[in-house]
Amino acid sequence: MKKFSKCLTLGLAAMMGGSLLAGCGSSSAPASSSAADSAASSTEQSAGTTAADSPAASGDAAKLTLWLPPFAGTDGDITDLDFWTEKLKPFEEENNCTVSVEITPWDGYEEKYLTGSTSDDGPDVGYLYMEMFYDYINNGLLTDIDSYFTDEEKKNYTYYNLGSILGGQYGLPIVVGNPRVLICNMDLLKQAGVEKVPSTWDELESTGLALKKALPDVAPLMQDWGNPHYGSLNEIYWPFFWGAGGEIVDADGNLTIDTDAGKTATEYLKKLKDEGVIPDSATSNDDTITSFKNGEAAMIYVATSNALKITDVNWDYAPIVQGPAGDQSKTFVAADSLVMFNKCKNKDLAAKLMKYLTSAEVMSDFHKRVSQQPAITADDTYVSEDKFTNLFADYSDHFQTLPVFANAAGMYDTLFKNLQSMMLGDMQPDEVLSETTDYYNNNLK
Amino acid sequence: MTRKKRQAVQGFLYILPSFVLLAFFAVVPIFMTGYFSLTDYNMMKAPSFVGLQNYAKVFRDSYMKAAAMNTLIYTVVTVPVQTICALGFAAFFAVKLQNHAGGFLRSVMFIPVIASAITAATIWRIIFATDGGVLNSILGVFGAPKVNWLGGTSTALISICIVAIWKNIGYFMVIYYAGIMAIPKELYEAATIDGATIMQQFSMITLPLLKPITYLVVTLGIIWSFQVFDLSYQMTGGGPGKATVTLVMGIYNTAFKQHKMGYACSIAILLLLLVLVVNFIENLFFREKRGQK
Repeated sequence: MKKFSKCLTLGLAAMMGGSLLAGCGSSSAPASSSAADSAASSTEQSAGTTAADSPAASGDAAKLTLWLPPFAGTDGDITDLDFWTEKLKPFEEENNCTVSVEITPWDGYEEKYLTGSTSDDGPDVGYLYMEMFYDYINNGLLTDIDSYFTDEEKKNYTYYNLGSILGGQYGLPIVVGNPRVLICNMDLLKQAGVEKVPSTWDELESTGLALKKALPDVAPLMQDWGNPHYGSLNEIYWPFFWGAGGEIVDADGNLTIDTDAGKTATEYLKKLKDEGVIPDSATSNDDTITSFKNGEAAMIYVATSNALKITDVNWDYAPIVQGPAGDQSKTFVAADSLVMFNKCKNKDLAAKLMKYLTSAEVMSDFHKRVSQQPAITADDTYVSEDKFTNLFADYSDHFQTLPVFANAAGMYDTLFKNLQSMMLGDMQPDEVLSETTDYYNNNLK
Repeated sequence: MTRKKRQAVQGFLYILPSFVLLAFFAVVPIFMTGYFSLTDYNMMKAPSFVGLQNYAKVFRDSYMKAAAMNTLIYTVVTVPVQTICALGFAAFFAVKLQNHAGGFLRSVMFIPVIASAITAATIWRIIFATDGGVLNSILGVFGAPKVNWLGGTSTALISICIVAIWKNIGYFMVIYYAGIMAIPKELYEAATIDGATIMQQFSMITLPLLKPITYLVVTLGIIWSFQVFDLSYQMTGGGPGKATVTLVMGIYNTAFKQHKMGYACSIAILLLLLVLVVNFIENLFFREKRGQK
């Protein structure tokens, strides 16, 4: 009996060891199935369209993995996943394929792409923003998609050239728009004796001071310097930087923020903070829209799609607040693109999927039901009549995308942290720019 | 095969699964980290050997200097406070609240331990909010001005320390409570007969007999402090400026945001060495004290 127990125990121990080694060796499984498994296990998605559980998966149906970010509001009528699942069904049927769609949250977005794409668990077709492109192109992870598009198709894409990066067509712009504009609570401005939205730096300052005097409990200009992510720079810094005529990098990719234009913009922001136009609480604020909706802030910079969600406030906007650069002043506009990863085994089908996703049929519905954005193709139109109907036609020359350069995300993060320090009084504007430039050149480039 | 040898082989086989697990998921990664720390590696391309360059860079990096200083301050604040508070609560519960109410309160104090750090951080963000935050609203009742808890250089790190202490205290309190309950009652009875006061009993009996537990609590506290990441990541993202950047956050940002995995590995190895050195010094201190006893 004793011998039997020993044998049993040893057998169990051997089984455990064996199964452990077998588990560790499972990485040799086909890439497509691991992608499907990964997608199926994601907490973010529960689509019925995953390769693993689709009936077509048992046959010879091709499989594609698609990663997209969330756009639908939490209080929206439809979730991103439901929308794309619905939209992809006809594509899957027509092409006898399964598309595993995964909605990747903005929080940790870059990390998710890095780990996914380098561990063979990434998507075939993904969605990158400008800051992310350099390393993926430089390290050969993306496919130049130009040859998959006919001249006629290219002509139909209004912003096709924005996907031409570092000598190749690595992106297919899908969301081009969402410019950051200054919106003002007109009721609060009127209480402060201001009748119109400020359109120059001087007017912004004087309006802020008037608001501060008339309404001491209201933040004249709220900015989210407490946001953990540098993405806030698109609203709280770049419109000022470009309003002063600054350029982030030169043609050779050298950082050029430490210039007179950069100093002018940074000093102006500090002045607004010192004068109380930007309140002290801005350094812990991470949601200016809520402050604006609650009447706690009179002016904020915001993406147009988010501005349209503010329905209970009487607001108006200024597309551009001109700085020293005058009518050359610009503001940030997003130019996010679909990309095809090199590991994709069915590139023709992936290109077809990219075309389908950006088609007028899908995009117009996306703009109507998920996120209001300008049309990206000539055969599509802006879907609704609202305050921004003419914005893109009238001000497109004033919209600026972020440049693509080495370790852009690292530079933005460093700059954001140094600007935060300046807003707290721990750094001076010239220190912010020179230290960011030094740190970038010595540690990040 | 002799019986002794057979037993040895059997013993080895028994521990084999655990050993393989440990080797694969703990030991091998440490060696891999050590290797990558000597390379220029961004996860997208094969690593190339650069010798000790990464290590030399760490000491010139202002971002990592700030991270090291913040981690040190965080450790110096949280470890003593959570240790003393946990001991105080445990002694109070053991002496004064040996009833259902005590059991209930002990359970309540343990809730933060099992709560996810992200959830806790999110809740505390609301509590610490400058405008409309719970804490400032309470302070406002007493006429105190608003405090920019998470947005001020001097208050942000302290705010995170407060949350960490709140979260850890229940765990250490339970450990101390178990230790106090294991001390023979006769010792206290004898001391009472000899005329010792409660405080004298605490300092002459309880504290010395809890030394091994204090060693455990302090060791765990220090290791957890050096590993702090989730609270500051969720509450402040390392800001404002570099006010709440920690070493592990520095490693994370360097690896996954700046794509400098080799450099991040060198910081990780230095952190490992730092923890080992601190643990060694702490061990010496406690061993000496045990020798004195």
